[in-house]
Amino acid sequence: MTTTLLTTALTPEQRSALETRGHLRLSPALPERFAVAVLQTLRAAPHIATQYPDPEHGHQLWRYGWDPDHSGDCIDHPLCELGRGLAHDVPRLIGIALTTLALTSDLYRKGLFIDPWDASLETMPQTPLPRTASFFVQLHLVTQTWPRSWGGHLERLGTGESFAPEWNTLDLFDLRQSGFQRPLLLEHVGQTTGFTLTALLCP
Amino acid sequence: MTNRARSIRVVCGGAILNISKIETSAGTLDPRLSDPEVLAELGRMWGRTRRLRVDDALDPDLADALVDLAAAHPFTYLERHVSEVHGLFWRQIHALPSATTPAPDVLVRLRRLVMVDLPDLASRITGQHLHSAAGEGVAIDFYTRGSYLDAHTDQGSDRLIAYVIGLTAETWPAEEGGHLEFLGPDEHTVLDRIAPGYGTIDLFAIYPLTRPHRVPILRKPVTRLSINGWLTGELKGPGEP
Repeated sequence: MTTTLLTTALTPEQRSALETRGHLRLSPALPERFAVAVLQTLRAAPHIATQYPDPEHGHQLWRYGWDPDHSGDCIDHPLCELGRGLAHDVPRLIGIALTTLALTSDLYRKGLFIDPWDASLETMPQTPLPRTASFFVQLHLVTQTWPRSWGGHLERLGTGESFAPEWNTLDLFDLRQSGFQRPLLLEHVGQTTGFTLTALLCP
Repeated sequence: MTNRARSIRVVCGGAILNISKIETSAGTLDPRLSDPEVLAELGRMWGRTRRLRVDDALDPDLADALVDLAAAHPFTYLERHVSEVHGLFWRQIHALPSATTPAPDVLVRLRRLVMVDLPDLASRITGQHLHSAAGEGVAIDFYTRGSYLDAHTDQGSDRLIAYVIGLTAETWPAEEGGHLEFLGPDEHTVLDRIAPGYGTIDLFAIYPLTRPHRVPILRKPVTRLSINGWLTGELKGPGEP
């Protein structure tokens, strides 16, 4: 397994930030050429519209999910290579033993929103029993940035913190500290150029 | 409502349907809209801006029946990205019964509304000879949080007038989105804004005078229901009588 992330070890300052603030951003996250290859692959991936119009716990999003551990020989496929790379790199980076990694890609599209949720209680797909995650990773591959007032940025509940997606950055979150939401995205921000990949880590 | 419809109840697949024959005379519009003085006043209002809202336009129980119809059927998610017009909302389509086919009363009345009564009302108000552009089906659109329709003009074929039949009981401020907005040529400046209504009919000209219009993204988890369509007629140049 080759290393995917450019960062292979956290500095003491980074480790302290993750422990105290529950968040750490790495930038750049991937080798540039590989990041571009992943973006190009995502543009062709079928992101399926999913809606749940509940007044308090609703969502509207466009999501593509895949299993990087599937059987079959596709080691050169950028998304599988990325998934396997993250499964290899991230647990070592933050010092946990990984048992499950679920990968999804969300497309930024006008109308996106996700009401407050506790990601640590999310059910892992394709497993018979619910699993709880303690960390999640967000890799942003967006070629356009936009102000927080337009919506769509991930927000951490109760802290006022907002995490704007930027090209080739990776956010590490400790889910034991808080829940999240994505306020309604009010503007068009690039139909095929804005993706955030999420990996839930279940130690 | 003067209802001479012969209504029978039948069980169909476990459900009980009220079936009416098409010769029902149940009205679809408020009776005052047959008053020549009311029509003349509406005509004068139309002539000033070529946009008009008719409040309490539907026969009082028809709006309720149409909402019940919408509630009884699933909506399909609709993502529109055609000709640079972006839209995101939900829709259900109801096949209109033919003139000789027995059908639930609400569908019979819906057919009469969009095919006969509404074109006739609009013709009397605008002085144009208008026909319904509805084919064999009518769409009920549902907007809620995250729904929108970007600026567009509705121009196409021989459409002269667009209509919106309002079925929205809730009210909310325009800042929350979901109101119909008419725009200037820059497609950003809001010239006029119409809140969703209940039992209302909105008419606005598509040809020859048209304005881009939109429904801004709805920020509240409300229920905005409407039936939207067009009326067709003979296209004339702005200077033609």
